[in-house]
Amino acid sequence: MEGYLIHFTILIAIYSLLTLSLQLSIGFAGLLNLGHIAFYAIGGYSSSLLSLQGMDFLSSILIAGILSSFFACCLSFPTNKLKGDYFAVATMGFSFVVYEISLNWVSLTKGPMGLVGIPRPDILGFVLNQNIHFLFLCLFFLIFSYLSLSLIVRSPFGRVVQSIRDDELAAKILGKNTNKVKRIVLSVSAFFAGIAGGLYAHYINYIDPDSFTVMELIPVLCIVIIGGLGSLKGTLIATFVLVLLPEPLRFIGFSSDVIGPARQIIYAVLLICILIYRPKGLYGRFDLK
Amino acid sequence: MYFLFFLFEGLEFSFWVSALVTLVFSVLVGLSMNNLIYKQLRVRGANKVILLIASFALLIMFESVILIFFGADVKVIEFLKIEKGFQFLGAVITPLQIFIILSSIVLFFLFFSFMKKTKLGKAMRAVSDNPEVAQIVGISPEKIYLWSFLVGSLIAGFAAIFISLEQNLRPMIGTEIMVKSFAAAIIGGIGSVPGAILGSLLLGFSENYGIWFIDSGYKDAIGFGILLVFLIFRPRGILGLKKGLGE
Amino acid sequence: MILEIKNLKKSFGGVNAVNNCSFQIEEGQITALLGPNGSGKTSIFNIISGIVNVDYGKVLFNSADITNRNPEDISNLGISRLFQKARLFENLSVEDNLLISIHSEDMQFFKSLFTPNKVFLEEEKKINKILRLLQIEDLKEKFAADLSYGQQRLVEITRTFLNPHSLVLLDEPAAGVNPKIRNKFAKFLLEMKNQKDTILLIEHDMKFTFSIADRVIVLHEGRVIADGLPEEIKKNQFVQKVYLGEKFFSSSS
Repeated sequence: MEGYLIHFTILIAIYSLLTLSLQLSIGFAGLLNLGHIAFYAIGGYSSSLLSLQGMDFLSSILIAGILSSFFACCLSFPTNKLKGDYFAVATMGFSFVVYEISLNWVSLTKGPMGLVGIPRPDILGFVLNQNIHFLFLCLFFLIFSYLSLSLIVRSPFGRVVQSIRDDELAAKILGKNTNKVKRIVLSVSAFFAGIAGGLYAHYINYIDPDSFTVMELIPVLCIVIIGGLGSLKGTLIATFVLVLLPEPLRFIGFSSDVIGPARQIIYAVLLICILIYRPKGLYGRFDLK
Repeated sequence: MYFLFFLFEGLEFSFWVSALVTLVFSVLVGLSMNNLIYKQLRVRGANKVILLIASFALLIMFESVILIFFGADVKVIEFLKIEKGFQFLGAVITPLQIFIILSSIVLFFLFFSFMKKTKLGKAMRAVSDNPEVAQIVGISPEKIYLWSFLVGSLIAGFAAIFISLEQNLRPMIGTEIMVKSFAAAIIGGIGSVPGAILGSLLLGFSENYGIWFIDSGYKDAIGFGILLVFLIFRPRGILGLKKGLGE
Repeated sequence: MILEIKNLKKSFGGVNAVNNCSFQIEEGQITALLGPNGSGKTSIFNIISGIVNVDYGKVLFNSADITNRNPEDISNLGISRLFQKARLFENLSVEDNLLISIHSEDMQFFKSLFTPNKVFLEEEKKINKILRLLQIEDLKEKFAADLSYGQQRLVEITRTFLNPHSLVLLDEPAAGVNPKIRNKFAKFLLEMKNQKDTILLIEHDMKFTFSIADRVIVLHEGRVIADGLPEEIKKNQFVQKVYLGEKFFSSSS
């Protein structure tokens, strides 16, 4: 039971990195990045590949984050002038491409076979073989990301970010270089998603392209919206509640083939319901305009 | 598509019956999606973005249901067995493919004249342009949405049948097709029916031609690459109107 | 001469919105841009602000060519803009709306992270000064979305003037607000002129316009048909004909 709780908390921590970073993008900047999972994937693969080559954990995960950022930065150039829904589909397309590449660039990613034997983190000689220690690592990253993101959204820069969400033209007319701001937001968002990917990879010790499909976005998106747009606190709470929610399925005794898709169905249905009945979510002050 | 599979392979109805029932099912699903979900959202003042997310959620939901009931492995609908094809301009083409191409052309033609000539088609374009003004002129946007779902699902049903015959079935195929259709629509130009056709053809050709040079697994990536190029240099697409972009 | 428009031409899908339009704006004055609907006024504003590209012609600001530049660049060169419809940042407070306008360092990511909530004293003073002039200090903490239209316009004008500038473009500031607020605007704009500001405004409300304008330019079908002091324009027969049906001294539509 205790092992299960620890596992569960680790999942919440990793998911939080994903949801908080997506919240920055959607809730604060108005960038509906449906390709967020791509950055998760890039982070996961980079960190794993580097570790398998012998790099130490801290460097590999940092580089994973930076690489994700870099790709986000590149992606922002063609997509910056796209309006909300077009931006959404374009970023989703990017997610597909990343999936496709991870599937086909076999010499790098081992394709559908995935990467096996990703080592547990080795920090200054201390190997985190026990889950409880890994949990502390995740909590560290969680706290770091929450604090950084809070700092960003409360800063003058964060104010400009939100202004872009509310009215990009008005922001431009006040002299703000909105393209630069959007680029930065996307990069920061991707950075934390990349770290999440790295943590996931080093926890499960195995990843393959199917770990990072577009479907994986639904729980994240669902949490971001239910928690409420524009609220980091809401996102955190929602992550906790919603990762918890489908767990009873496990105890009812469905086979593992069914649990995966069943979870997605729950999240998808929840998302649709929230959009219909309470688009502001729990702590949001506004909804997707 | 999976419904067709279910009827044909599972319950072993004859193909034509299965196809027909599938079309009906398709339309029913489309209409219920409209009434249960989209209408609710519209009533509450949803904007395009919310509708998009809802669509995305629906897509994932359906794919998950399919995963549960049909499993993740690839399925095939064995109707027209693979026959020897004819030689045509140096390539091989099967009767099935000819059938699909011809049916598609007929459907395109029907759809195009529908949109351009019939009262309903014109009403649809009016609502797409400006729902409020259309209302003033006496067109009911809700009714139009109903009809668009009907026609749209019907055409999608045909597409599903064709694809099932020509290719095999995978659960994720819905998402793949959606992204590619969107890319095709953008490349060809939003708001233009000939544009959609042009975009799809262009996309299809470049993907299949491109894999002569690049690993065939990257087929989809080629499409996305072209989409990106268009987005940077000509977001309007080839034949499109100026809707839907930044200021 | 702070602003010069030279031979501007712009058509939208076959319609000539701006048709060989030229004029000059002098510093320290309130100039009104009048004309019937469709005469090209807002299009010209959009061209000056860099929101729309010209087909032909030049815009010179302090002798520098700013034609077709980005809106944010033009704003940073010193031109502030008010739109026809209120465009506040709805989900931010009034204070945040104003801070965005006046704060110059919020584009620097790292620097701004480590000066989180420090509202610089200078900025605070300037904000309060204008709020006091317009008598809306009490609105400072409120959310923009909660304000009435008239209050939104007041805040928006404040925001426009707080943006560091040497020229302000106002697109129908008095439209849609009650007479009391309209008077506030008139007094405010005259006060800004006293503080050496240069204002170019589009208006339909003649009474409002003639009470504050130093000079009037009249547009028709995309070009200038009259340019001079308010009294001269009032007597101009051609202008009266162009405004066929509109009484000269009517209040806003």
